[in-house]
Amino acid sequence: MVTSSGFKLIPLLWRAGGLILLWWIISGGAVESWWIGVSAIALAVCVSIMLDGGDRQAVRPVALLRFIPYFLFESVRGGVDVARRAFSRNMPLAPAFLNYPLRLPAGRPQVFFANTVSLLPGTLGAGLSDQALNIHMLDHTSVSLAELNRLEQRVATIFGIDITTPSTSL
Amino acid sequence: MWNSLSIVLIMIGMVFFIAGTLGLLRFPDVYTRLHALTKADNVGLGFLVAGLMLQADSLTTALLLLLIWVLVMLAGAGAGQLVAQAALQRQHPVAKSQDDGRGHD
Repeated sequence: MVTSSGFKLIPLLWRAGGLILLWWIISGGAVESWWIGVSAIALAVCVSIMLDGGDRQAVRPVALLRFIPYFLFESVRGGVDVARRAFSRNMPLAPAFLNYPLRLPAGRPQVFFANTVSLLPGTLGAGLSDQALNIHMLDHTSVSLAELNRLEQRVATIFGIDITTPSTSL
Repeated sequence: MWNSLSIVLIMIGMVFFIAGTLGLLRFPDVYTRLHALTKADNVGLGFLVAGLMLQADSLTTALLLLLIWVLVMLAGAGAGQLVAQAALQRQHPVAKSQDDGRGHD
């Protein structure tokens, strides 16, 4: 499964770096634990390469970092929105489903989008089918397509994909 | 100073947890209840974790709390979608109008 032609060093280093950070966190920085930690990290990197082969859509770390403040802000907005409805006496809900055609390619980008749609106020990912995401809306009068498009665009940026041009070859 | 900020953050978190539970009990169908669980509880846990991070005695403890929040969020997003998908496949009733929510009070 590991093709030497598709082998890239940089993603490998990011992965190893992430695992080193993870080990440091869960071991509480105990120096004597690194003896096990280093071997576990090496093993985990090998396994992760074997599992995703060469077809990995790489995440751009800087774009991912830029996504975090937007993600946090929208999460809080989504939480406040649903909390307001739950506390309200007459509970204003107008649930409906929406079949959202995706411009993102299948694989990680689509899954990432489906997961983050659930954070936007009033929308919940309810299953991917090919090139479309089934979205449940808490109140269809308050969901905007422009907002969903913006999120999709942001996800595309994280994976370094251009979705502004109509995709025929994907 | 840090202590009172920590208490305020944890209290805000509690409000979101109560909202999530209230939504779970009051919302009319499985899909709308998932909104309450995935959104309100995630934000609640976020505030709770932020409050507890201020109390942490080491950097690794603080980061561990952050990691827990990220993992719960990932699990919640995935599980929420699976539940919605399964409910659709089994043709669970879908609440359409807003008068369907009769409430429990």
